[in-house]
Amino acid sequence: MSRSRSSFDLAGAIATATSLGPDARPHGGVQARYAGLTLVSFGPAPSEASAEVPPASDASDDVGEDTTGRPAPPKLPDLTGIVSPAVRCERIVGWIIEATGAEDVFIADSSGLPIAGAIANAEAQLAGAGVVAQSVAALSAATPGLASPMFELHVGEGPFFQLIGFRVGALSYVVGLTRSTPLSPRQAHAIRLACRHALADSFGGVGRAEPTEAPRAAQDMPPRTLAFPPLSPPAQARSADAERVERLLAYVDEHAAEPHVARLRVALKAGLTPLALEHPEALRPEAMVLIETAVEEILGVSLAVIRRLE
Amino acid sequence: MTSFGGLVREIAPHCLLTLSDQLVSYQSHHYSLFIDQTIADALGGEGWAVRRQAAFETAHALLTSVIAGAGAQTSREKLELAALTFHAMGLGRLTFDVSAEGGVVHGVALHHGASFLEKYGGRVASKRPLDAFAAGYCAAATSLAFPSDWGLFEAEEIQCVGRGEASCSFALSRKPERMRFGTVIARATVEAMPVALAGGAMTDGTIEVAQAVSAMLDGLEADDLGRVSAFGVNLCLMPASYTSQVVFDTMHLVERRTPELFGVFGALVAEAAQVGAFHLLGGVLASRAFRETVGVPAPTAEQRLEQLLGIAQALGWGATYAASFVPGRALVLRSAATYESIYYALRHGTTVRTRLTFLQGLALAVMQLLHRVDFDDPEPLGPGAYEALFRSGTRFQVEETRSTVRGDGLCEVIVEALVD
Repeated sequence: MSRSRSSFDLAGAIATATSLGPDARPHGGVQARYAGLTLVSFGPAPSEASAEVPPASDASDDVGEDTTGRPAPPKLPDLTGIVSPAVRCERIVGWIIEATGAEDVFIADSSGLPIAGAIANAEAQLAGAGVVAQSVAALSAATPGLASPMFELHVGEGPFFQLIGFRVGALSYVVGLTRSTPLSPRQAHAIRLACRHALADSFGGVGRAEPTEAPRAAQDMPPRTLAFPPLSPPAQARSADAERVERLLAYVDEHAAEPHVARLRVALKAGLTPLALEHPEALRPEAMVLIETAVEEILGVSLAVIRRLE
Repeated sequence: MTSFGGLVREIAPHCLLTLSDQLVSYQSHHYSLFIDQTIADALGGEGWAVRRQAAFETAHALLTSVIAGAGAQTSREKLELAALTFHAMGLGRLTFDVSAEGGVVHGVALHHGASFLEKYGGRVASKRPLDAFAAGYCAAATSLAFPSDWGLFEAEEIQCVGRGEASCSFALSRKPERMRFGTVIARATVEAMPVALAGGAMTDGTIEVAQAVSAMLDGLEADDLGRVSAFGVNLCLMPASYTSQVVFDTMHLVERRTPELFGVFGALVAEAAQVGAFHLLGGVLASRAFRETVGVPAPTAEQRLEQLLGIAQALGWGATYAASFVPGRALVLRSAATYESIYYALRHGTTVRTRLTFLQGLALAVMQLLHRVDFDDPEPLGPGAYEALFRSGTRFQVEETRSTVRGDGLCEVIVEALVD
């Protein structure tokens, strides 16, 4: 059943993330990062902790607040003419480091697959970030009235590991960074806008921070989305699956003992909403197995019979 | 042993029934099967555990009071009493072959498994055992017969006719688990509730029909196999705690795990009530016994509504009355309390959501019976009659507008005809 399965998926993902975790023994880099901090903290970081932050960091705390007289944040890099999403993201990562004084900045997709930044030896962090992004997306979907899984969170007592979630079109991404103090929601949103600026042009998505005119030659080229991490199945395969879902639903309508509630039963068994069943072209590939199993159980026939349906 | 109908006592102002000190209601196999099916749809394999646990808790409370009332002392006496009670409730015949170490219980004509075969007649094959209620009941009876600090009995259905096997049987083994019991609705709890019909009143016609149908039900008895085949259905006495617990526990799990499917689950549970009420209310109204005792189904929709509500009250479905009725258009049903509202309030407290799926389904069934069934037909509820309701003709929608568990003074549902 889907709810059980979804629980197992999450547990599996967490287990995967945990298994990727580094040894409990501290590495040199980690030791260096935590050097000078008190082991037990019961309140805001003392002033000496701030004193350790380089001046650039202080200035960057005011991302988007350059009217206060403090130093203005650095300008966004000019991405004009840069086609590669990875290179665009690397430039934005550099800007984030410069603007916020953060360390170990990375950008990853919602599956925890790295895109740019400090991604070497960070598998566990990346995997964990993916789990968080997906859990937040599920939470957002489950919360009435929330259309976007945009989020920010931080972990620790200082230094803080901060995750900032954002969307470009239909896809979700996260920025991870480590800092002595967490960024405020407003500052985090500035980071979000900068990352959208980097990714929006690459994916033709929404939320461009600045309109960037792509070269005409580039506009004539086929979409470059497949050159990036495979985030969605090819349109052709989805169409074939959609037709198959429609055939399965027609079959269950015809053969179910209670045809007037057959689709509701398929929805409940498969863990999909009736609306999702009405739009099979938008279903994820794994939905097919759930629907086949639901139809199999409702009709009491073998899965082989269901799979032979043409 | 007491007859089927003689098992129950009414809690008069609420039109609810108790067996010993446990709240029960008359239900048909259509309702029982659909409820269990919906739990399985929502929870998959986990649904078996939810149903069996609910059955265990319910049966433990019921048998504790039955055993105390009968003064049974020995293990054998307790098991015999458990088997007799199960038989008398129209749930089938159980034969206990168990000791303090465990054993096997054999079941014949069990309400769920045998009714599944009868209803679907080989059209649908179940891949899972179906008699979760009987499994929980067997485990509770054996745990009471052989109490031990080492734990309680648990039953697995190792053979089930619904799965195509020759008979039903359960393997019992002791599990080192502590007893987990939720709230049980005892008679005293319901009797202590305030009696208020909140502005509504039952008509004399409804009360007369309720009394006549109660007398009809009193005369019923289970056959040798523990079946009560009457009014075109397999009738049984189903503990309210069982149906309420499986519905609300599953509802809460669905809300927590996939809240977007809350409405789907609610619609299917209401459908269980609709299919059950349609067949049982319609079956009673169309029966020869009803014609002989009360008379023919009334010619007008208003009068038939009185008759149907009287039957519902006799079945222990609560003191439900019509606050408003526009033939062909809309019906407003109200009740101060139903067994599901009482259960939810006692076990879970208040809620902001609509929960009273049985009342919703009952109202839909009443509208279907009033407008879509011709009781002058020699066989008004023949095979396929229910499915035909949804192929063409007027469709109805229901809305729960008031509920005691949402803080209102009464429960209210409105059924309206849909205009395409």
